[in-house]
Amino acid sequence: MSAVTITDTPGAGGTPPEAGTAQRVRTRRAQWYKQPALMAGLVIVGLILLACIAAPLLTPYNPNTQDLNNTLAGFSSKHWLGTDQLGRDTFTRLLYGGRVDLRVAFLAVLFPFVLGTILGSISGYFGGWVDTIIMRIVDIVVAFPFFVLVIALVFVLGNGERSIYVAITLVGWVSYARITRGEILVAKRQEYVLAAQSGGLGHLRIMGRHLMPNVISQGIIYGMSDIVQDILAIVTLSYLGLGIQPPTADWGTMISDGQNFLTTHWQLTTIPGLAVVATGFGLSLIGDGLADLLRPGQS
Amino acid sequence: MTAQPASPAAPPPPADPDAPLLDARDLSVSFSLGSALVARMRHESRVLHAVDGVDLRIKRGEALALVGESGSGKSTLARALAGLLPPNQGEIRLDGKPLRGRRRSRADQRKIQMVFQDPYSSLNPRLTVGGMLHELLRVHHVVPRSEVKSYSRELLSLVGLGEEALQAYPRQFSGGQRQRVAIARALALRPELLVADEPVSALDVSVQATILNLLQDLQAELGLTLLLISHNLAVVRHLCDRIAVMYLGRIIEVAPTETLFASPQHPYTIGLLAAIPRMTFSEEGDAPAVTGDPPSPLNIPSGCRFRTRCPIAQPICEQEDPALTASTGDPAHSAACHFAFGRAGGAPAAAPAPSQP
Amino acid sequence: MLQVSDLHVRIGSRRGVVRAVDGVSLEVPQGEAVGLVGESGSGKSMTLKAVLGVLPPEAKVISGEVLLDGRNLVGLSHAELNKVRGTKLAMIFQEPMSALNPVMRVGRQIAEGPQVHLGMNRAKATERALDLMRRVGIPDPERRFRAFPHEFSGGMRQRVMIAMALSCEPEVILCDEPTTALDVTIQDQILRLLAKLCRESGVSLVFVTHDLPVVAQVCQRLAVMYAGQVVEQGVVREVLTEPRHPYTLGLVRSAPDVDQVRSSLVAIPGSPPSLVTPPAGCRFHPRCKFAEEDCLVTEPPLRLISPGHATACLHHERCAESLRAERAEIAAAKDGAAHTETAHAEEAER
Repeated sequence: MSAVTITDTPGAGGTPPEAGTAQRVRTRRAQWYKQPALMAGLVIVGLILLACIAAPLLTPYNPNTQDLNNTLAGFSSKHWLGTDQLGRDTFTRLLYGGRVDLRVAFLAVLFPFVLGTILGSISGYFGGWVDTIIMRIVDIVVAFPFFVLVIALVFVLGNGERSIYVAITLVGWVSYARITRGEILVAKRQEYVLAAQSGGLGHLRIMGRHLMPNVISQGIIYGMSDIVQDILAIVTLSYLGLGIQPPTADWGTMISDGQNFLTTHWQLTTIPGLAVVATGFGLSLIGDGLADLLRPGQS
Repeated sequence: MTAQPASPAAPPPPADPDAPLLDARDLSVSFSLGSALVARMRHESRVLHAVDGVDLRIKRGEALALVGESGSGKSTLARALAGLLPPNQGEIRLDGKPLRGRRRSRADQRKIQMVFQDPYSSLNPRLTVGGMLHELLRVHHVVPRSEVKSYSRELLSLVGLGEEALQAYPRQFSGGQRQRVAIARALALRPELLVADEPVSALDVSVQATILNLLQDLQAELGLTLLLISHNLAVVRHLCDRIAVMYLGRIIEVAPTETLFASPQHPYTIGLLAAIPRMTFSEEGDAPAVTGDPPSPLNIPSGCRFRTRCPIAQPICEQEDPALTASTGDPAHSAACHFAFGRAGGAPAAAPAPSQP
Repeated sequence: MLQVSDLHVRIGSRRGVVRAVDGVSLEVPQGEAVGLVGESGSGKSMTLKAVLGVLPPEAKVISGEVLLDGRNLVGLSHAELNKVRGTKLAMIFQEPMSALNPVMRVGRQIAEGPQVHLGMNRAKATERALDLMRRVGIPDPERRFRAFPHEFSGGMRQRVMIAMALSCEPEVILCDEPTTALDVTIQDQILRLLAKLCRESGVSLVFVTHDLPVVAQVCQRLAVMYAGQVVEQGVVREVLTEPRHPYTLGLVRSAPDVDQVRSSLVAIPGSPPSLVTPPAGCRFHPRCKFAEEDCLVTEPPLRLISPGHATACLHHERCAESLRAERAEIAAAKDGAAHTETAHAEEAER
């Protein structure tokens, strides 16, 4: 082979670059543990999740077992948080209700996230009339207040978990679409996209493999705050008697049931209320922490 | 060029060695801007003719430079040639075969590859170097699957990087190294034409030299045809055989490198050469080489587009747009000026360049 | 007259303390243009910012002095500094679009300085602004006075910045890569303008750039910076034709010269060092082909080797040798070429 004169670092081994860069990369990953907001949020949510998952281990009762002899009991060693008006153990219902609420909230964020991200990507990448149509639909949906639309949809679709998913997905995808579209509009001008096009790669591959990983972080961060909103939405829906139906335990129903006894047995409403607040707080912290971590310009 | 078997990225042998590799005729690329209403209110055209009727021929194995300042259309032209922008008019032929404007076939797309200016945004931050190369190699079936890894290693060694680079992410590299990766990527598909759009402008001076040397060596070793876009004439003189100077969307002069430096004919070229800062330490006057600002590309002057800044502008320059005509003495040298090559102006010495080399 | 004395600037970062400017001394006599040349990370911009007192919050001057007419600017309060900034000391930046207020008319921006610092009333300040606009070559100033920055081209915006800098008749203008973002022909216009203004009004310039020929065009003296330190200083012509520091030599050799074609550009191997943990001894030694044992140990001081020419290299004679050898080679090649040329000419004649 002819002598290709490369006057560069001897041992031109690609990896070590400017002194300090490798160090910078290491510090960034290590940072993850040190982010106070992120860690605090993870701890809070982690504990709540753990408790809900480990519910059978933490309580011998069944959330729906009624004990009409022991209604509206106060705190005791047998019933840590007392019982409700039908004698069901509050603590147990709290944990099992948590399962329902957290699961529904998570899925209720996942579906809009997926739908919104896909539509937003298509909109941003292709532009033109596709973009116009999708964005006008977004405008229409956004014109309605979130809760009003969700409640209306659940009302129409009938009660139950499935309606919640459908309703929230149909209403919630728009934010993700807008966010993703914005990110894609910027990212597609980056030269690595041009390079991929120049390399003869198809649109789908470019969108999926090249653009998506780079734009998804904003959607995820938004998703964190969205979970909080969705938990509230679900709790509100069940409070209003829509969505999750009794006798399934869930925090919203518990709050609703307990409000009749607010002055006498405050714990029935307040404790599930606090659970909602704590979960929301924890998720918010995670969102903040992630936002700091994933902020562009970190690398 | 007989060193093919040893060189991993060498392009396949040509069908007709004498024909130009790339032949672009009457190429125009325009963009429509903003809203029609606002444009009408401002009495401005809303169409920006970034490239306005360009004829360009690139010989196999040569290094041609496209030189111009901002607004000249050189980057747009490069991207149109590379198939990243559809031309509104005109034809591009590669090896005699016309290329489609939009969505070229994969096989055609391979043949012209590009290296971009900004090493920090031209590599996908989420892909490792190896991942990026493997994807291209797999999609185009450049080499059988079992050889992908070894081929990638060879590509990297061509540009002076070790195989550890395969597992690394772009952020772990310096600017100069990233450009090497970008060059390796461009070569992976064994292109026939490499278009380098200001490949060293974003790099430090001492690193520029490495990349320029690399391009020079690769050209010699692989028999690569190179189209270099640059605003830096010093870089161009070092690397290229022929230079085409662009102004406001047109090529206004073409000549072999040394000829252009020795006897530039178009007033813009003369001004451009004079404007380059040099380490001559001689006392120079206050008068700048080229006065005034370039006109807005939305408002191109009638007749010769350079006349608003031209020191020798005459009435004819406003009326007639000079065509790019070759000198009778040296067919390799063409200029778009009524007074080039000592012409009296008005009477074209030769018909508009048909046989451009 | 501006004098920078043993300036040290440290930046706090996650990686550690970055020694961005590490003992820089600079003298800018009245009416002279001094160039500050270096690549990215050399500390040249930080030095300028330290002089003006506009360092980013993470950066601090930990020692050294910046003397303007004998008065130390380091450690002055914000209010005190403001009296100096804009009046005696002015700055022009690389990106005129971000340095100009996009929602304020250009004329007002130029007139603001005299109004605030010199106490001129609106009418007089306007007069002054129009006069400045003429001086810097902005055509049709009466009409352009009321224009906004986005209506100007890059070169024109740079002229506006220069007018702003001149508005209160400063003693020193600090220029941070003012032409890097401009086209060649426009750069030529701006450089000549700056050189002319420097000559005519006796204002001093500190011109930061990475582009050697640009420095040659505008400045009389220059200082070359590497890794936060000045490695060579002297009259521009002398430093660029007879460099006495391997880094300067490397810069000169690696820059493609439009007037000469070198067969292969000589790049400087390696990359700039970490400023958190710079190499021991001479900071350039890992990349220096003349490095000897003592280069790894002693940090070489900036020493005068001839009147006005200082270098921080312990073995600067090696540069001189290397240059002599190179020139001998070129001369020999030319002789050889001339020989073959005359041979061919004689052949042709026959």
